Amino acid sequence: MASFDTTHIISLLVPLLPLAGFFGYFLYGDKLSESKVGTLASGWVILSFLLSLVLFGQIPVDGAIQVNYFNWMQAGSFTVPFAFQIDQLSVIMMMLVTGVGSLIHIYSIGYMHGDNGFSRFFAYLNLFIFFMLLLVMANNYVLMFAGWEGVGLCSYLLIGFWYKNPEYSAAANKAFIVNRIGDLFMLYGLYMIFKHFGTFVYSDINGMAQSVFNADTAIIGIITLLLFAGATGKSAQIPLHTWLPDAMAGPTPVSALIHAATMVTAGIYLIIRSNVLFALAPLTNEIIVIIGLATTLVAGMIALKQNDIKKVLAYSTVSQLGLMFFALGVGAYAAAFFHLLTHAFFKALLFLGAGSVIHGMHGEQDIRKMGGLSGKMKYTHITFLIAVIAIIALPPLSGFFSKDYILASVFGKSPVLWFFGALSGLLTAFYMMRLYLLVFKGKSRMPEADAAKIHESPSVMLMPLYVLAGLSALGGFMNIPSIFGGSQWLENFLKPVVSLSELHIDHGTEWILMGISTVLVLGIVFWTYNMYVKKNDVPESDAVLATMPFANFLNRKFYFDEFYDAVFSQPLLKFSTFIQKWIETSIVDKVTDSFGMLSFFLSGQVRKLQNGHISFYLFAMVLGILGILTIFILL
Amino acid sequence: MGVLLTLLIPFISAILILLAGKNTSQKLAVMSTAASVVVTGILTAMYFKDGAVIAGVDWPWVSSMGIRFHLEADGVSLLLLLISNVVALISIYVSLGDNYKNVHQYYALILMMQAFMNGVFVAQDLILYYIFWELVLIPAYFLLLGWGRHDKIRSVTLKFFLYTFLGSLLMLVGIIWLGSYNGTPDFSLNAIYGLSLTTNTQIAVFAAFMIAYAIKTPFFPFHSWMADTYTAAPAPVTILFSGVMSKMALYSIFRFVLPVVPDAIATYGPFVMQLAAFSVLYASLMALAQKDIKRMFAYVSMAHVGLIVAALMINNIEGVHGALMFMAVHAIVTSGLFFTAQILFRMKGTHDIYSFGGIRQYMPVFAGLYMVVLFASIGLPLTNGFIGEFMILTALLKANTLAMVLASISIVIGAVYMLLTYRKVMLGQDNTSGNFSDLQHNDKFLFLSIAFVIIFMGIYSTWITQLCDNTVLNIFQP
Amino acid sequence: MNETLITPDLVMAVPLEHYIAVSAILFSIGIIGVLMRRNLIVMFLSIELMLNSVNLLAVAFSIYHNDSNAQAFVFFIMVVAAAEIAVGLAMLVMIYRNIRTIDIDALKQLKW
Repeated sequence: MASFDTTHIISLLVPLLPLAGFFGYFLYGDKLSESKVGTLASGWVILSFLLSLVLFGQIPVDGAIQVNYFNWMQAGSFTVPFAFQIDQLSVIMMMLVTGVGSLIHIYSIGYMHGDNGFSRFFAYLNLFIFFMLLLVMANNYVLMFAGWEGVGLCSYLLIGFWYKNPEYSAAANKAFIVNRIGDLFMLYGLYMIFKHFGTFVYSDINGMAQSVFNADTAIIGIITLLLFAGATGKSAQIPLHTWLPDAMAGPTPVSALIHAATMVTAGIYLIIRSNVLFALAPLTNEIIVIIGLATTLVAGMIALKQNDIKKVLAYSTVSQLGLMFFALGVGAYAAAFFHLLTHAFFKALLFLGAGSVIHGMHGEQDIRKMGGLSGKMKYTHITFLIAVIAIIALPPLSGFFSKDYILASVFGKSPVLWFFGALSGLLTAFYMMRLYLLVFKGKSRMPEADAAKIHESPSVMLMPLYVLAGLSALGGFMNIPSIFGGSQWLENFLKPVVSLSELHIDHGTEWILMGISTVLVLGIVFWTYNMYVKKNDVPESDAVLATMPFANFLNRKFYFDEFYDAVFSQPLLKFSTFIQKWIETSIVDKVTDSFGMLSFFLSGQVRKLQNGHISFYLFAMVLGILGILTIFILL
Repeated sequence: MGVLLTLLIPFISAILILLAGKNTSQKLAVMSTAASVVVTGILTAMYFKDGAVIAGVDWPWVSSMGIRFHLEADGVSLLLLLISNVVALISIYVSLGDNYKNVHQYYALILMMQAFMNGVFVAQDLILYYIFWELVLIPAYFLLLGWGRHDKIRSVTLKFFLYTFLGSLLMLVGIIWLGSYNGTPDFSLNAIYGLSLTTNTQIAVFAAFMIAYAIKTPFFPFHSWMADTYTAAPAPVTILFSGVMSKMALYSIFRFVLPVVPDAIATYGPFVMQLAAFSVLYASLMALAQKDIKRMFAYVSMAHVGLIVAALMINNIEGVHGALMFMAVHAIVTSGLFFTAQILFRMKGTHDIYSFGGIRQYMPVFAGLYMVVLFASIGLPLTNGFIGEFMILTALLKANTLAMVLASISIVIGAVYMLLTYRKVMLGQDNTSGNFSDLQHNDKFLFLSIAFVIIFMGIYSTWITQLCDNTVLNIFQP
Repeated sequence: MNETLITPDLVMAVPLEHYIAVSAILFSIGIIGVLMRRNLIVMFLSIELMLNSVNLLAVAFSIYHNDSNAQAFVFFIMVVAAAEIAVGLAMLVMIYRNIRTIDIDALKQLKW
């Protein structure tokens, strides 16, 4: 073990401080006042953020800091170190997690005000930050998997935070179990990695990848497919996407932090982290492209017909994540990561804005009952608008740069793929504008009495909105493409981790593509404005919706849930009861018991000899003696 | 002498408790088990310090038949002693929360069982080992018969006794065969290790031993005594059964099967491995179908031990280390699970999952601790459950892909049944009435300790591997 | 053991075969008695007859083989037989007091 220097201590403190916050909850419990608990919990994360900044400054230009603590598991040739790797990729993720995390902690002080589980909520959030940091800081797959499952645990805890509601706890179970299915495949991937590489450490594996690949081309393909299957679970890609919309049962800050900004991007992080392996597996990349594209389009279409403000955002998240995978599949790792960052900013902002609306409307989430809120919630409205412009990719906000980067990279691969990517962008524009206009513009659709009670959120909730709005607006400047004379700082910074991204197209074509998509998005903006503000259309009520086949199909989310329930959940339960009834009790138990029964039967037969007549016994005895004597004499 | 102490302390305390009567038995039992844990801890510390086998006693016993009273503890024995004594302590602590009839007899029998189980783990002579092995059955039988809770407790007890006894007899045949293989009878472990057996003999011995261990462990299809016995026995006894008694069989596979019949394992090991792996899947499905929470936990335990058997059959260093690790893990986790079932039982006098609901709001501490145990049971990282499971499955993939796949599906199914149960029992609105005060004093202390050990082992696990390393290396690199 | 036995000539006057024949007849009578009769007392008598036939044989062989061990055994047998009769008759009395008969077929309680 290397000697403990300051880097060791700092990088250990980064995840441990939030963990301290979690354990602190057991010490002070509900004894402290809300403001103290909130300040304390946020303080840990902010400290952690500052330490991440320190580490950011310490990263060598083309390398990584490896900090080794102890062996987590060890047996023979099998070793799993408890060690961190802090490189360009992980340090940005650390700053993202702790930075957005701190903002959402602060926001939650206002949002969770008066809740019974106030301090428990912050304990869970702190625990989540710890696991997320573990995930991004680990230097090997197993420790990363620890964080990976840990964030799943926190997601479970926070979705089911209001545990008295059975639907919420069902959603929590669903999230954990669906994630577990992905995790199972990921575990298979890890076992395979150990079988063929003999180690779990990223840097060792990256060094050996080429030679293992040369030995057997199928192996890398299988490993990467399994890892990707794990990623589909965590990042809510088809076919494992169904948990994320249900996960909106959790408090809104949770949706912002876990189900938009950080945890769901873990799958993208995993693939970028393993880009050396994925680069060697062309077939896997094809599959990722297909899955990513399918997810982004399907989720985009579903989002068109959702009427719950958080469900729209949830499907939007699924769709955006699909877009990122789409980019990963074509090898545009830096572009995907760039979009991950900008998406974290504006989607967190959207959720927090939505939270502010829900808070202001005292729990109402149906956009059909909102409308015209722009006057009543001025600051929420402005920040929400910034986020909307960012996500529909209008220049010069951050979403424009990142989405354009993805589309440009995709075009270099194939114009057909570009078309689908752009289509996804149009869907995004439509449902986001629909959401925005129905909530903030048009006429108020709620009863007068309710309308009077609507209030702007307190400043502790607005402050994080301002910061995130600033990041959403300016985040794109991290990676201004060369077409605008930028230096592509992010991509260059990531060079040591992500080596290949050579899909650039010439500037002329890029201008044309940008122009096309921007014009189309603007067209959609006007169309939706015309529809929802000028004509004052309101989405159909559920009863009307049921008469419209396609719309209903979208509203019911392509019937994924019903399908899974009928094909997997119910049969599994039925199958287990079947086994219990027909194998366990009817065969296994019966066979065992039949041995006992057999001996009872035989002894019953033998028992008939013992009829209790002494004279019979005597007779039998004499007969026996005679018999024995005869045998002796004859022999 | 230290090794002998681990037998004598519980044995003598058992007699003292019987003599002293009902009033002091709880105190004596706690003191005795605590002393056992301390003694075992000291022995372990000595082992870590010197790295030498802890010599016990080696007295001639039945010289004409080559039987010696030989006790000794190496690393693996020490691990099992730790498991046995810690679980016995847990068991006694769980017992404190309930009122048992004839309380002095009850505690005396538990301590007897502990003493004999310790004997199994340190005996260096196969006949001595066999005697301890069977002696364990006697207190187990009376504990089940006298304090069990079942409509047909007699037939449950009889089934348990006869079934496990039948298996043991096969093992006795195997032992006598091994001991007299060279003409002059010698049952000492070293002599057995020194034998060079023909392949056919190995297969016969392997079959005789493995059937005994398959029943005791138990794994599919030899498990039909298990669910009833585990459900009927009082919770502390169930903890002993699943925490330690099943380990007797697993330990014996490690000690008497792997080194003695390598050829047979090379031929039939994969079959047993796949059977055990199938047993994991089967038990998980069974757990999913249960409506009685204790019965469900019984099947959970069966799933876990099946995984250990599969790992042992890999017969290499990584697999065996994984198995030993998971033995320690399973002992703690299963104690926690059955303790949970017992706490629920104390509330409403039933184990029926559907008669609970909404307990979370009244008992936050219990809810949190139950959750720690639950997640350890389904192998969440940073709990000890993950360590064992991960080590085993990694090794299993290298050895046998089919077995790995069969065994690993329970990762998902486990999450399903555990979370569904937790939701039904703990979450939701209150639809129950009963005694809902949160954990107090002993219970709280015990449950907190279990949770602490679960997380501690989940983060710092290598000490177990180090403890066993020399013994394991001796087997694989003689 | 090796010292020569002082053998009465009277005993040696009868050939060994005759002793064997007599004791065989006695023994058979005893067996038949035990098997055929239902009265416990008669059965006891028959058993005694069998015992004594064996005693006779033992004594005869003892003399013809010049080995005194058998004679010692005979004394043992006589003593044990006496004790057995004492216990047996006592049981018989008890049986009679309980079930008012000494017919052997009335005793079926041996079967549970």
